[in-house]
Amino acid sequence: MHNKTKTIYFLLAFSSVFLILGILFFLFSYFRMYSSQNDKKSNPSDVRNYHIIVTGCYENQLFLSQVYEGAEKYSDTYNAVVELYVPSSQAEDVSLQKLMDYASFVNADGVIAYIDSPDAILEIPRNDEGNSIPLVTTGQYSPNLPQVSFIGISYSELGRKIASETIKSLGSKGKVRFIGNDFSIFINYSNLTNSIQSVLKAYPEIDYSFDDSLNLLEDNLDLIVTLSEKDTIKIAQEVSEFPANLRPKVIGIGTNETCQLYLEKGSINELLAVNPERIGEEAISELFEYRTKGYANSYIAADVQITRGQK
Amino acid sequence: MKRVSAFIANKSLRWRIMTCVSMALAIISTVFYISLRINTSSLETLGDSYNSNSQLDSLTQYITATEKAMENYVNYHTFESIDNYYANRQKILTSIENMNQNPSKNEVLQKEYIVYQICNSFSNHSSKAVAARRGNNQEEIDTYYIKSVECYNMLLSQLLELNKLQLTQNADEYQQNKDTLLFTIKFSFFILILLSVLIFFFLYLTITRITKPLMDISNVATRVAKRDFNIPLFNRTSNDEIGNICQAFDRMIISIREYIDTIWDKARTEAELKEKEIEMQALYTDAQLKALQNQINPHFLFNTLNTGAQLAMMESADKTCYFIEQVADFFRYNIQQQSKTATIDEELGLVDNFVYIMKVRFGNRLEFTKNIPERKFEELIPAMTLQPLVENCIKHGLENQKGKVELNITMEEDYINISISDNGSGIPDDIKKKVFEAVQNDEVMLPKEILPTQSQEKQKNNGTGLINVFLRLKLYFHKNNIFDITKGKDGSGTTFIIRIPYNV
Repeated sequence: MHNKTKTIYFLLAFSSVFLILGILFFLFSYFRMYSSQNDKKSNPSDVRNYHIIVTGCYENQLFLSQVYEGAEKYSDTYNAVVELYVPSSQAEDVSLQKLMDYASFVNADGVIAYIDSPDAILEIPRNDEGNSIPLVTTGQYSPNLPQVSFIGISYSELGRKIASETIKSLGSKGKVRFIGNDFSIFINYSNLTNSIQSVLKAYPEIDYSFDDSLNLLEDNLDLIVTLSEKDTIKIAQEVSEFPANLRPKVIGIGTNETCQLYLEKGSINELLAVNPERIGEEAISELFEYRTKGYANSYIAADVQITRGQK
Repeated sequence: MKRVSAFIANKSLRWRIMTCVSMALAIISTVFYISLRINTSSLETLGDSYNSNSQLDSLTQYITATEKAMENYVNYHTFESIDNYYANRQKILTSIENMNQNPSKNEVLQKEYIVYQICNSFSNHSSKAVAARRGNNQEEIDTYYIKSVECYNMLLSQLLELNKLQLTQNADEYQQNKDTLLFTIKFSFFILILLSVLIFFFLYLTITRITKPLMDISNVATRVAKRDFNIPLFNRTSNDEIGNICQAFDRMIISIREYIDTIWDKARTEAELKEKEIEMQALYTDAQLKALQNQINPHFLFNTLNTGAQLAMMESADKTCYFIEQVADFFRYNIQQQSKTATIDEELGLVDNFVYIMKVRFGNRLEFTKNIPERKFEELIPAMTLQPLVENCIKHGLENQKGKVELNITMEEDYINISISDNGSGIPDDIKKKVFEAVQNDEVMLPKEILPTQSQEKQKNNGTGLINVFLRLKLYFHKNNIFDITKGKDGSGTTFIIRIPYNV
């Protein structure tokens, strides 16, 4: 065959292959785009049977978002959609009752709510058939609420953890003050302090005391342990005003954004908190246990999570 | 592939060109159609992008109208308000029919589900408020009215969020569709360019395949016009127009070659004939020369013989006189034989003279018998034809105690049959064969190796005389079957046969 003809045949074959590949690529790209658009609109695999709402007031937004993450992890297992319904700012904050009403209006299949006060009185959310929607609470236990389950803090366990962290921090010798100004009025305060004392009495060289205030200049403390979130923030503020080399160590309790901020700054050395993600996991599990079995654990102790700051 | 190639090769040029153009058009149309469909689809999707927002706006209006109607009815208890309420409530329920009715992981669909559920709740609570108002149940009116209003506010807020989400999604879709559209246009342009190149090459090849044989035919025609017939044949087996032309051209070239070969053969044959004629002329001239040379002796001998005959007459020796006169006649015939032909009767007269002389010489040892029909034989034959054959027979017949020679003439349908036979030992088959071959090949002598044992004179006599006679007969009558040599009737001796046609 002539060389010129050979070249033309080669070009022809090459162009044909290129053209076919091009058209296939074009069609493939187009249909992929088309199907991705359709997928965005409706994908059968996205459909779920249950709708669970995680709700609470704005001030617990951070905690609830972690609870939501914990529940969301198990949403696929229970074929459910978990929705975090929390006001996005202080200005938009509404009462817990309104949030519960929302659950009623959207005909939710379950509600995980953060209760601020043990005296909270709320109208239980109901679905469109008038049946009460299963409710799992966390935060404060309110005996007035017909909740399926409460996931809260075990104060005895928390006390042991605090004592253990105190010993670790001091190295079994030193002066420590436990501040419980905000928390001391609650009934669980004694559970907490008893638990701490029962551990620390085995360490005679640790000089500990419980008080609602302190004088940082005069008390000459090695460690301050706060027993509530508000106390943690208050002490962190005071400590942060001191020069770094004169600051006592601080172990606090708290989950909110401010506490996290002080931990990051170094004003707080350790932060103890209940594990919110774990609460979310437990809550969704209890909700579906209730749906399937008709009953659930009425009280579940949440894990305590320790977050250490920069040394 | 070969089958396809063979199939295409068998199709006409018109079919191939039309198929090529049709295919090109079909491919371009297909690409254009696909591109158009994609563009249309993208444009339609582009247009649909904001439909959902528009529908949500309508839904919001129905909800607001429903809430307003419910409020009016609760406050003023008018028919108009309740009609409005039910009408708008129905519109809400119709509008949300196509909304997602199951929880979904998809953010927009989930929000749709929430709106759907709140719409139902709103519808439910507002219905209860209206029903309570109808029943004038103030407590229920307050409860459900408050719930309806709360639900309404929540619904508006959720609708707003859904609208935002859909707007975002639609904006994304719009962008994607726009990208798709641009991509499609660019790609279509690219494909069209590529396709054009492809079609160009395809057409180039097809046209080349069509025109190349035409160029070949043109070149061959030019060479043929320059009388160059040493050209290869096309040997195309395709059934298209070019194939037919090539086949016709091949046939034409073969015909021309055959015609040229025929002309060449004819020319060669003519040349050979011419050559043979020249050769025969030379032979005849040579023979004439020899005859002239020999005329010296016959003239002298003729004059001497006449003198001898007169002397014998004067001495009353009649037999001697007759003998000498016969001898003289014999030689006279030879001398007077100027023309190349003689009648059969003249030739028979010469044979009589010769036989008389031979009989005088050999007496009773020679027996000559002649059977000739009673008629005149004026048919012409080459001169000196019969006498050499008779002489040959006498010579071979006398090899026996008594030589018998017989001359017979019979009248056949198409020819006169003259046979001269002897009772000699006969001519060997190989010599007979060689004689015929020599005559056939126009040779005047037998090959020397045929008679190795005989003397040169004998060889000359045995071969040349016969061949000379037969060759002259063949040249005169232009036939090969004019003479023959066979065995005698009893299987011995030799019989020479000459067939003289009546009309020459």
